[in-house]
Amino acid sequence: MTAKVITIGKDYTTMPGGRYKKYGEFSGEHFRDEVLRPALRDYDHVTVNLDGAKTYMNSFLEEAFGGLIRLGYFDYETLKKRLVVQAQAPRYSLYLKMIEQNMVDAASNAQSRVA
Amino acid sequence: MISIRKFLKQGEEMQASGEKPKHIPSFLDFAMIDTCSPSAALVLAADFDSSRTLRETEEFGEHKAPFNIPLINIDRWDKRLKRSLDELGFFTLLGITRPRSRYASQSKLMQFQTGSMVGRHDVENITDSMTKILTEAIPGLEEDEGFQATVMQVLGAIQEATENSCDHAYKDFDLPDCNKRWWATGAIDVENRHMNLIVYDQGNTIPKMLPSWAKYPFVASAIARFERIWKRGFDDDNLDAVKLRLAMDAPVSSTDLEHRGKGFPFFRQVVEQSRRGRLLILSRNGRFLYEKGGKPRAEPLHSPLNGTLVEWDIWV
Repeated sequence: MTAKVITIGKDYTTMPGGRYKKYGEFSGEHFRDEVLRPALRDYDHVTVNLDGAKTYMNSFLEEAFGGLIRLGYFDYETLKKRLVVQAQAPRYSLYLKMIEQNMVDAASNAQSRVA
Repeated sequence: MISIRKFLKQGEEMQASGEKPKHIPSFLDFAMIDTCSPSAALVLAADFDSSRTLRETEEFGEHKAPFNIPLINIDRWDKRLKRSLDELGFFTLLGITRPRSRYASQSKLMQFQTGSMVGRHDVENITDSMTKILTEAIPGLEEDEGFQATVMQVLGAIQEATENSCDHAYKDFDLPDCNKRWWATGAIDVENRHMNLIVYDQGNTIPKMLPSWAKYPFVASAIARFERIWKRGFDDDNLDAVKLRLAMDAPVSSTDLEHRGKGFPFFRQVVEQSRRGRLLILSRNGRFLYEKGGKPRAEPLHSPLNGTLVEWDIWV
């Protein structure tokens, strides 16, 4: 079993951007495609630590995490088994909830598309 | 409201047609203004910034048109106004070096930032400067987890507004008198532990963009119901405030493709999460105000705004 920990503030950026690459650097799309998906491809378990970033926009989080399900790279159950998102500082608790909600919404939208 | 660029153009056209003698230049005099809120100062600075950039890049025949608009009677301008404009970077924008104002104000305005991409380090500069002032003045604030969470959410909300500007405000927008950018600033009042954050763009307004939004049927059906109750139709100008209110109330999921980037729920979320907070949105002819714990209010603007302004008042 291989595992990788990504601490966003240390390994990616302290100032994440918006949803799409076309609107600037360090977007959710960029994080998903260049960091998260390669990590999930190369390791059995990936832990993303939100600490160290100045803030997160919901659009960044939705594109990065919800996008993994919405675009069909993973289903919700598989992703939940392989990806853990956490933070040490309590100030990130809101963003942890947003990520979970984004993933649940993406899964429910995927199911309604299939139905 | 007339933009500075239109004002300059009108002056040139009047001079060309002989309506105005050539020796009388166009100038600006703010001596009659006695108050200017940070948001009004930002809109003014944005208009100058936009006009200057456009004018310096456009061509009049073989010559580029210089941005030259003298300010007069500066010594008679209100000292608070001068200080606010100075802190905002207004005089620097016009290439005017002014001695630092000795007037001590209770609140301090941050230098405005502008961009055409989603705000990152530029908007971070605003909240960093404000945080530094607050934490230096208030012992223990830096370690306060609640304060850190508020700053984090405020910064995220400003970013949402800049993304909204990139993603929607200038979509299919090809007015020549427009510089496709956003402008942002903040003001801090340490004594009242009050942060004021503002983002402004000159693009398509929220009421104008709503018909292209997937949730518009929700807005349209609510308006139809409203008109049935009142037994009359309303013209577009009067409906802008109602549309703003409905746009803020529309149910939405985070993955709603058509809703991406509009960020309305997150504009409000920062207020909900704060100890005390207020959200104000001005867009075309509408004004939306939400205060934590209160009922959202929407009303028509007396004078339409060229674009959209989002403002947060947060008490920490």
